[in-house]
Amino acid sequence: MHLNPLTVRKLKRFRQIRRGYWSFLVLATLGFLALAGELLVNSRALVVRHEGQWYFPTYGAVIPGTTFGLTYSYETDYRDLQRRFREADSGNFVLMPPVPYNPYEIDVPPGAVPARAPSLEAGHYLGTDTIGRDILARLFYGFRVALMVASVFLIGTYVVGIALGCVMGYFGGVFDLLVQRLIEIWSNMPFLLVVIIVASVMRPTIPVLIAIFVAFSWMSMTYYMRTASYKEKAREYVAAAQTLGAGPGRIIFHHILPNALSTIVTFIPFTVAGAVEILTSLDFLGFGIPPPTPSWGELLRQGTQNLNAPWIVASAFGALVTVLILVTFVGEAVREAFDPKKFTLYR
Amino acid sequence: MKTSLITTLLPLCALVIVGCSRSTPSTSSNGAYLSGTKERSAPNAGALAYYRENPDFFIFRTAADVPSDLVWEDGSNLPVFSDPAAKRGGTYYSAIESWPPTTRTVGPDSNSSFRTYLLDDNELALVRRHPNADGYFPELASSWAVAPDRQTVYFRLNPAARWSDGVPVNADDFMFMFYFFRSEWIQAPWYNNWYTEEYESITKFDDHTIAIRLRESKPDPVERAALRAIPEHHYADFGPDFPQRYQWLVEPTTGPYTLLPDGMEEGRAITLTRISDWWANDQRFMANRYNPDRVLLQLVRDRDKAFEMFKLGEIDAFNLLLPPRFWYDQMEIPEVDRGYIHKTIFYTYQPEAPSGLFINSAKPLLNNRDIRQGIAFATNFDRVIQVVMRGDARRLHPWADSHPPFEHPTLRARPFDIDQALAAFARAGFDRRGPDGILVNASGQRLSFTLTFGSAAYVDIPPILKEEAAKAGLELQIERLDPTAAFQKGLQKNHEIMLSGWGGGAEFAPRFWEFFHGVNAGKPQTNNFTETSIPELDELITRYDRSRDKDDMVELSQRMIQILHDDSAYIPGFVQSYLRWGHWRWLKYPEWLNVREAQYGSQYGVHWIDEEVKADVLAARRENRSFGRQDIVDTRWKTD
Repeated sequence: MHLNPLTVRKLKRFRQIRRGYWSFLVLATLGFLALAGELLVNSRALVVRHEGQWYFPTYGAVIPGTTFGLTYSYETDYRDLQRRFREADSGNFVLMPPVPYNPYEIDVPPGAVPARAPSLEAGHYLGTDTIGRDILARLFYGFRVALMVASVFLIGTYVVGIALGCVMGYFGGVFDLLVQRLIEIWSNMPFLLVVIIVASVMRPTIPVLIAIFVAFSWMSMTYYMRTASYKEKAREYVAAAQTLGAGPGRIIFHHILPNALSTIVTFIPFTVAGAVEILTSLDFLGFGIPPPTPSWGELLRQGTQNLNAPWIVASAFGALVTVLILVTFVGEAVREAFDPKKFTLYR
Repeated sequence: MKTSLITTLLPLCALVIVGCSRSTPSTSSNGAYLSGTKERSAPNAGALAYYRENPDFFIFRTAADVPSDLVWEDGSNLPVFSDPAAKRGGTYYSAIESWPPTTRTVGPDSNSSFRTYLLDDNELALVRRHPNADGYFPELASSWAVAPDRQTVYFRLNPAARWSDGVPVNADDFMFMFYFFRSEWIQAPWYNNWYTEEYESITKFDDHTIAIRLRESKPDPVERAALRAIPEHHYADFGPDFPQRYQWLVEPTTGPYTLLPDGMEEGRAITLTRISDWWANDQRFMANRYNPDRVLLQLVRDRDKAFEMFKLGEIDAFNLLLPPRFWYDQMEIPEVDRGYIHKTIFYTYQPEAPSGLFINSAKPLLNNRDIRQGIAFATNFDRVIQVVMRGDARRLHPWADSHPPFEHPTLRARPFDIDQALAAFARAGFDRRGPDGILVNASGQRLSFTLTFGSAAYVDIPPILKEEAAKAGLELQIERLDPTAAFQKGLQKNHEIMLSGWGGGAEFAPRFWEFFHGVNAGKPQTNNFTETSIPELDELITRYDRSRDKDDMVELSQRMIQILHDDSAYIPGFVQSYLRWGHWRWLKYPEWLNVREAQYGSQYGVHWIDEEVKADVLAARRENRSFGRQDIVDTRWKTD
């Protein structure tokens, strides 16, 4: 890949900011782990060996209990199967993931009362929530959902905000004036109320939620891009491109945008943090992702209502704070590395 | 009559219920005096004109016209349910969650939970259903008689009855009540409709004798005829501006408590004061009830905060029914161990309101009875009871649970049974599992439905039902809506499966028409959430509603319950048939705690405050002295 020497210097500088760089590495690792989550946190076994046959249930179709000689036709309970195989000791075995629970299953054995405290023996390393679901599993998959929502949200707001901002800045005049007024009006729409109204009349699926987030969040980006394009369009290289006959689309997206990118990059980590916060707070209020999808906000709410089960609120709060701090460290480092006062051709 | 979602739990303005009293200092009319006797003012001119326009409804006769062959009853054969050991006096401290939007008990915004204190638990009616036995006990009436046609009920008013401002209650207050409730000025369509459609006439024989005639003959006409009075003299200025004019005035009441002008501390607390020489003090069924001199209702908007105040002794009693953490985890405190706070479980016996899954049988696939029966077998409410309710609930029985003799004696809800569910689904063509374990039919259609719910109290239930249903190859997609939106969705019949509950109360006979008659199917705004329309059932419902014979009604009811069970569009949920509350040691109850049909610990006013015990408990708390823990479990009304 060929990178602009300026960019290479910025990246080098980013690596030198150790706190931010390490935070980035930790986050990236977590992200990759989340992608392969089914192998780490799952009620399905990684490997089953039964009567000389190998099974890999993690991905793919449900394997009914009857396959392994059990009496039921629904999905095999692999933890139970593991126990049976161990007791029978006939060469069959089950290898479970490190956390042998999925985020939906309700694990309340007879006589037990949810929420159950953390226990190594039961495999609930962070305990269970108020209806017996594994907290670690819910945190983990909740993280994946949050990351996914944040990524799509990021792309959505930036595509709209950048495109519109650049166009405003490049054309200026009446168009700029009109769109600015529109943005001012639109910004005054109470975002939370809209979400509450939508959530109350329909089931807010994740795409719908993201669409609402984007619809009310693209505005701030336009201002930065508008300013950047105003500045850039006065430069000689734009005049040169115009002279060569380039159209507005080409000038905006091929010439101006790459030069304004450093502004955008510094915003990315904070946008991600913002998205995670919005999602969590909406879930906390009960207007976010529909149940039973795992979500941090829902865990936080459960935790604050059940302070007698402190592991719920501690886990959710700890996870949220950790991730937000990591993202903020990355953001600070990026901002410093991409500071135009440090690296610029126009000295 | 429209029933509300159980989540709102606002008492319905039905029949046996009641009104109230207070006026602000700025108003010259009708202050709530606490003693003395006043004369009635001149009759209301508007009402008199209305009586003349409706001579068939408002009938005037003489005392000689009362039939002589009537059999008069006075409830004296029924037992008293209050405790002679009760002590009068003291203040009962409680809490309200929101500030009342009005102190009217009728009209816009009046149906708030505060109305209970002024109307439902306070105002007297002619007679009231005895909460421990079959029959009625007298309130405003001293005796009553049912005409042989079982359509007219005669009442003799108690001449001692007084409004809280000292004005005597007489027959004109009942005539005025009909004028009032039928008037558009009160802006209460339910009242307008009910008092027009259900009643044929009211007859005044003399100042203390009336007859109320229903539109249709009923096996138990007293229930519908047991109305309350409206104080005619309070509404001298009754007119189109009723909601505004009477917004913060308190109606004089026939009941024990009233709200005096200085009783409202805006945004902080409301104090109800007991009328010192309440006219019914010595009446047989009123004595030793409503004992505290004051009821102080503090505004506490957060339930967890109110709970903390209760643990500090700033609130005398607290409902610990739900969530279970209040009863278990958060009640293991020194105050309980030392016996300052008593934990009480009181089993009640009364018709259980229906709640559970309501399947829209007009939707594709759900119109197949085999699929509905399969869903019933795939619904694991027992698991919900174990996980969410910690085992402290039981499965509801099919329609009319605990409503003897109308309930079905043997029929029980279908249990969670995967094999039977799979068999039922297979009959409907869903005989193989897809790659995700959900059943599909020959054309590849998945067995998947949306489960809608609104109440926050239900939030933990759908995930459990979903997990369990998947074992039987059924997918439930959970849809959580705002409670009002969920209710609307049901009224519009747009849901597939709805998890909800209906409010209820003790009535003579269970209702079927609203929920299951075909005329209420296929159109919005009816309570027929299941879109049930079975000609055979319709015919039985019509016969049941017209029947005058109780035995016939019982037989019809049981047949209808069987039909509904086979139809399986309503899947009964679970119920807690007991009350569970905590109360400080100084709050005393009779040895029998409360009545069979109590809906909460303080209903029927049989409790009292013992000031000596209170002083002792407060001293004991300072000294860390223990009385010994007290956990009370009363099972006298417990069934199975």
